[in-house]
Amino acid sequence: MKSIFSTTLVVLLLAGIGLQAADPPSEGSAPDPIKELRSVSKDFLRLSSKSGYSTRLVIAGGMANSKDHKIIDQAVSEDYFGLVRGRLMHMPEQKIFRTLDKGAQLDGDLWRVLQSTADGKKLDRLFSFPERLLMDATMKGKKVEWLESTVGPRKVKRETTRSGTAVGGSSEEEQKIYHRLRVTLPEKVALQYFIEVQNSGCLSGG
Amino acid sequence: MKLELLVLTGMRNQDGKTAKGEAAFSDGVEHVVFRYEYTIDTSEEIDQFRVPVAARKLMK
Repeated sequence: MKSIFSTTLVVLLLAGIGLQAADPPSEGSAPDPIKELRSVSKDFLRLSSKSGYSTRLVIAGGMANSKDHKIIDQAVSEDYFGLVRGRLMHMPEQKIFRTLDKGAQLDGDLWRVLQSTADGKKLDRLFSFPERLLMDATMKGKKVEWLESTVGPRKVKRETTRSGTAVGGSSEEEQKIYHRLRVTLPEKVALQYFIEVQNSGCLSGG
Repeated sequence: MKLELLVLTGMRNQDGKTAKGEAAFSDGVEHVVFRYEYTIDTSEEIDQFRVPVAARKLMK
């Protein structure tokens, strides 16, 4: 694959987060996406440290020629699984422990620096901690926006008061679900991500 | 929770020219795509890891 690049763009999509529950919007308006992104990042860091999570990452890389960026000529395909608790990731299948910038892999009876092998280097460059992505999105995102919901609106009960009397009632109304965020990052950040892909060696078959 | 990272890289055409901005990633224009799809499961608590001393030393 040629590495002659010009413009770079990086987009982060988040979906399925309990965004709306955290900050319900006032009638008819959408929650502030920037505020929600910050809240999600903060909550995610807290959760990671308190109880951890598991994550599967599927990577596909190649050429596209349409605006939906569907890959028509795939050059890279990777699949990773890891357990994360606080600042540590454990990948049981590969017998790896990692922090944000270092790692160790069991090779026979010996522990080796993760980045000392081609496969370890590739993994280290391609499999970022989700926290890092969320942090980049929160700190450097140049555009944060809601995407169209993939689920229907939910019904909520609203208390109503009748003017002039103390008697109130309730009515049911539909509330849009905001659960998909798109963050566009600056070209400079996109370039950093692309350089990491190049440095992983996956484009040269290494 | 799902998290998708899309890294798009524009290519120079045969004349050595490049489309500007999002036009570099539009219909009919070749570009490089890296799609990272994270599926994150927070439903179960992850036990604290017991990292062997030798591995811990390498991560200092």
